[in-house]
Amino acid sequence: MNDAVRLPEILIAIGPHLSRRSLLASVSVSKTWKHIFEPLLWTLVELDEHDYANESIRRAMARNGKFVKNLNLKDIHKKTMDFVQHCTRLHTLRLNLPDTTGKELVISTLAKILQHNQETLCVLDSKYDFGWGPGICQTLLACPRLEALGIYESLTHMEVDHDFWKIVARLKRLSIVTLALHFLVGEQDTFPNLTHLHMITPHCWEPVSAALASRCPNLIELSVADYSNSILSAIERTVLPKCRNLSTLVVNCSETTSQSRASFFKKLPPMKHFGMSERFFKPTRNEKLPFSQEHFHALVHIDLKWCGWARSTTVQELLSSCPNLQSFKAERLSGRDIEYGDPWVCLRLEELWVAFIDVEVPSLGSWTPRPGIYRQLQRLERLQIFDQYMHLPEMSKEHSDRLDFRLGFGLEHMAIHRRLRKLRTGTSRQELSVKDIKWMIQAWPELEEVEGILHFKEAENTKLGRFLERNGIRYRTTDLVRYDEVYQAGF
Amino acid sequence: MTITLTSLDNVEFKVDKDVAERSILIKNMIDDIGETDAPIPLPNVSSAVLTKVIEYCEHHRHDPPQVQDESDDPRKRSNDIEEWDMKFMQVDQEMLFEIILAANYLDIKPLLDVGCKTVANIIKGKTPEEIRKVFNIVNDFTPEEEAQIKKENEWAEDR
Repeated sequence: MNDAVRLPEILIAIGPHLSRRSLLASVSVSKTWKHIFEPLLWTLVELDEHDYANESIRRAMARNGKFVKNLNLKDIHKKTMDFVQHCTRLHTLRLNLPDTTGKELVISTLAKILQHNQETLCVLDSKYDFGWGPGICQTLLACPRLEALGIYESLTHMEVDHDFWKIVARLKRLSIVTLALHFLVGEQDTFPNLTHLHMITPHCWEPVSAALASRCPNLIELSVADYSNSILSAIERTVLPKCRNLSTLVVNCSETTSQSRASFFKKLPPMKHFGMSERFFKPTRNEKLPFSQEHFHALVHIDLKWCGWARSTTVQELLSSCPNLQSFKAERLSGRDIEYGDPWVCLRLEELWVAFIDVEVPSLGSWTPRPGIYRQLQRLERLQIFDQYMHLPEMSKEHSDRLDFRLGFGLEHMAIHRRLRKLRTGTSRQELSVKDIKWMIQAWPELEEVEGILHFKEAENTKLGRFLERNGIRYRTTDLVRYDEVYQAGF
Repeated sequence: MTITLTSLDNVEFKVDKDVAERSILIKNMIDDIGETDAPIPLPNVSSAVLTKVIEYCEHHRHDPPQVQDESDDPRKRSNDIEEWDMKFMQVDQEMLFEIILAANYLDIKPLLDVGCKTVANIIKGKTPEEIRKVFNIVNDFTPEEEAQIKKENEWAEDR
């Protein structure tokens, strides 16, 4: 290095751009490199029960605890504090503990960690139910920077007291997952600091998530899984008028009627991110979304997976009307609707998750894929994630469900997708050969992961998977059984 | 409106205001002192490097301003570097580092990102010894120290 004096400045600038693997190699290069890059390796630490038996990890934590900004605990053990006592500058603490962990141990460990990191802690996300007693609430109130909180409450109904709402009043982001909610929000309470609210309340028969959201006038993002029968109209009546800055709305509900949907979509302002799913699938007639051009232009992320009312023509309409889409997920899209529909305008699309149906036409005794589909896919030059799965139980055998990834059958039309990183093909009738995989590796230099059954013969499938892995590409087999189960059961 | 910039080695460069303002440092200077004909001195940047930086700013003069994402992790951003930028970055190592330092000093974030990504791509996939070779760095660890580092960071590999 010619300019040894300015080297640290350069290394510090480069640091955030290095992958974990590169950082691991870099810390062994020289003492200067180690000094600058090692803290970056320790920014995120995850500890599980096996780690607590490892003495060299404990010593490394003692040296590097002060660099840890994000700590994920997958287990809490009586030795946990030995490992984390040197963490004094935590920004984010996540608890992902098994249900069997003793509550008292968790509460006492958590209290100690909070005390050590009072000044810096901004985010606490707990996927463990330890009860929100006054002790923890008091400790959290003493963390001046706390701005995001994730709560998971599993077994009993959740009673919250006044202190809890004092904490919520300071937060920007709140996530609540609870089976039953016993809310006593004061009539006067509003939460002007809250901009992101995420609630999963599967057993509440009242739309409590809408009730809370309507108290947050500055809400930007609302995501609910609420199986009361009236969530959609509750959002329409109480949330949309109050939350004028809302740009992300995701609703997972049990089922909606076409009247409630019609009324809701008429009132829905332009959204950046919109998602909806319904637990019970009921076939409906095609419904046209009453969206204006403003709506179409605002949409950047759409998620209509598991959304029974979004039929193929609606899906095709969205793809051909929304120019700013970055991610799009929808249940079914018919090849016929693509061919007879308008060209897709979502040229910035990076992620596409879709179940195609009716993709092939009979020709001269065999089947060929509809060219219209590839013609539209080729417009998506920025596609990074392509997830096309289908196995819709109610579809008859005439409706083919395969987009072919073989050379000569359609794969060559995908040469343009040079940014493709993840490919998932959920169909069960692929017959790929090594030649096809070699082509993929060549054509898609960024390819990181392939998931799917590449060949209907298990031995072939395994061989092709291993070939991918030898070339540095992660391969996973799609678990089709899992998908059918999930699909039929709802959630 | 034209702005005059003076490099470390006293060479004057006349650039259009909107090109110069791709540098937030220069933009703030202009906002503070108002419009003036006096040249802006850049004592940290040599003429050779400044030439390259101006070339970048001129090519990107119409780019929309970058939106600072709250959760801004450079590694999560798209991996691709534009073709023009890739050719632009085909310079010797010394110039590459000088461009990064200049982009840092002048606060031209897109140029800094491209430069850093270019270096990150050089480092990617290399062993420590290979990295040392490329950047001409002396290994100042004893074999024992090297072994210890490897051992301590082993568990970090899968995380």
